[in-house]
Amino acid sequence: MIYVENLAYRYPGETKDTIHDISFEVARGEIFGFLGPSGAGKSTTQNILIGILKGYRGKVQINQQELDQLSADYYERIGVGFEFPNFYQKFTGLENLQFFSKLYKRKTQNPQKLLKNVGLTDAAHVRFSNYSKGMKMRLNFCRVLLNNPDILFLDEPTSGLDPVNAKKLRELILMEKEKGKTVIITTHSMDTADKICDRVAFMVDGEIALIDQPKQLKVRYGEKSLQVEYRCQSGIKRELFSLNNLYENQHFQHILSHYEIVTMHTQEATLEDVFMKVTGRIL
Amino acid sequence: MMKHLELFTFDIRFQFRHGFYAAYALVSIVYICLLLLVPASYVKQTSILIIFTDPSVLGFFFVGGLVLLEKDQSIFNTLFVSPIRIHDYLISKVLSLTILATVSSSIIFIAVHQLHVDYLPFLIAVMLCSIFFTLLGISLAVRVDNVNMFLYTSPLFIIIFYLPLLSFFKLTDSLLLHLLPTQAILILLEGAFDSLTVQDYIYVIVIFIPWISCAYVLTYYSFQRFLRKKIFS
Ligand SMILES: Nc1ncnc2c1ncn2[C@@H]1O[C@H](COP(=O)(O)OP(=O)(O)O)[C@@H](O)[C@H]1O
Ligand SMILES: [Mg+2]
Repeated sequence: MIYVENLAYRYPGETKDTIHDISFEVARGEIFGFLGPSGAGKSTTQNILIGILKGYRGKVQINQQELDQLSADYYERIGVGFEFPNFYQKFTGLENLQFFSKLYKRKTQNPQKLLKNVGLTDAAHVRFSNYSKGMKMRLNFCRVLLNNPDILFLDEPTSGLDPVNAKKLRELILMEKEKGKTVIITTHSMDTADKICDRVAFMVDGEIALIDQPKQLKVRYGEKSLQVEYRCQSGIKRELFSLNNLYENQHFQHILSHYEIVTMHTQEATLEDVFMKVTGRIL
Repeated sequence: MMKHLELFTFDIRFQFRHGFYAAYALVSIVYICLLLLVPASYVKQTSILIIFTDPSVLGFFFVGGLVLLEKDQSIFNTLFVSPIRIHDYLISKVLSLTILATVSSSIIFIAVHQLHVDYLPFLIAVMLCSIFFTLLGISLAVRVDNVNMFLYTSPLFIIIFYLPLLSFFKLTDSLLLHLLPTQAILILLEGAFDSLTVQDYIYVIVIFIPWISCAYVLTYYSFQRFLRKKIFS
C-alpha cells in the first residue's frame, strides 16, 4: 500500500535535514504508528506522505505510484486529520461536514451518522467556535471519514481527549481497520500506540530506530517482574523481583516465609520503557 | 463543475455570515443617498466615480478580508487536503464577489438612473473591474500577515490603477493611461451615458485580456507559494 525507501527531507531555508533516510512499508489493512517525542519528525513524515510537503528525496510510493506524480485526485482516496483541527468558525459542526463532503466526487458518508458515531449528535447544530478541544478532535475524525478513504492519516488523534473519548476514538479507528482501511498514526502517547497499532516505528531526531509489533517489543526488551509489598516492623516495604528463576530466589522465599504479604503483582514492561531502552530518550 | 458550485454557494454563505452583505448594503444605501442629493449636473460624474470605486475598492478589500479571515480560522490546510484545486478556490472567490458587486452596483444605478442609461457597457465595466481587483486583492492578502498590514500596503499595490482618474478629471491626457485596464473601465462607464463605438469595445477587450490573464497567473502562483511557504510548512 505504502512503500518508502530512503526518504529524506529538508524544510526550505533550513541548513539541515529534518528527516534522515527513513524506510518503511505499510500493508493494506494495517494500523501503522509513528511513536516518538515531540519534534521527532512524525508530523513532517506524515505531511510528506499526504503530498503537502514537496521536494522530498528518496522513494515514496502509494499503490505502486510515485507520490510526486499523483494529482489532486489522491485526496479523493485518503483522509487526513491534522493535530490541530480547524473548521469554519461561524458554521455548525454539521454545516462544516456537509460542506466538506460536497468537495468529493466519490460517494460520501452521511455526516449525521458520523457525528452520531463519535457522540456529537447534540453538538451537530452548535457553531464550531463553541466546540471544546475534545469535540473538535472528534469532528475532525468525522471529516477524515467523509469520503470513506482507503488510507487514513491521523496526526496525534487522541491528543487532548479525555480517557473515555480517547478509548472511543481508538475503537472507531479499529473499526476502520476492520473495514480493510489502512491507517497511519503519529503519536507521542504510548497508550495509543500500544493499544491499536499493528506495528510501531520508534522515531527520534528524524530517524527510525526500529519497527516492530508492540507486543514483540515488550517481550523482547521488557523483563517481566514481580512487585511484592510486605509488612515488617518498620512498616510496609516494597521490593521488585525478576520473574526469571524466581523459584530459586532465596531472598524472595525468605520474605514469603517470614512476613505477611500485603500485595503481589507482576509488572510488564510498558512500550515507554522499551522506547527508553532502545532510543535512550523519554516520550 | 459541481465543486465550483459548492465552493461558490459556500463562499456566499460565508460572506453573509461574516456580515459582508450587510456592509455592502450599507455602502450601497450611502451611495444612493449621495447620488440623490448631489446637484443634477454632477450626477453623471459622481455615479461614474462611485461605480468605478465600488467594485474595485470593495472587491479588493473584501476579498482581502475574506482570505485573511479564512487564514485566521486556519481553514486552508483542511481545505487543501480535500480534492479542491487552487483554480477552484480562486474562481469561486472571484465569482462570488463579482456577483455581489454586480448586484449592488446595478441596484445603485437603477435607483438613481432607472432606465435612462445603457446597461451593457455598465455591466461589462463592473464585472471586469471586479474580477481584476478581486484577483489583485487575493495576491496581496497572501503576502501579508494581518489586516493592518493589508491596509497599509494596499495603496502601493493599487494606486497605479487609479491614475486614469487624472484624465477623468481632465488633469492630464497622457495616452499611456490607456494602457491601464482602469482606463478602459472609465470609458465603458462613460459609455453608459453617451455611446460607444465598436472600436471602444475592441479597445476594452484588447486591454483586458492580457491584464486579467496576468493578474490570474500572478494570483495563482502567489497562492501556491502561500500554501507551500506559510500554510504547509
Ligand atoms: N516549517 C518548518 N520549518 C522548519 N523546521 C520545521 C518546520 N516544521 C517543523 N520543523 C522542525 O522539524 C522537526 C520535526 O517536527 P515535527 O515533524 O513537527 O515533529 P513531531 O510531529 O514529531 O513532533 C522539529 O525540530 C521542528 O522544529
Ligand atoms: Mg507532530
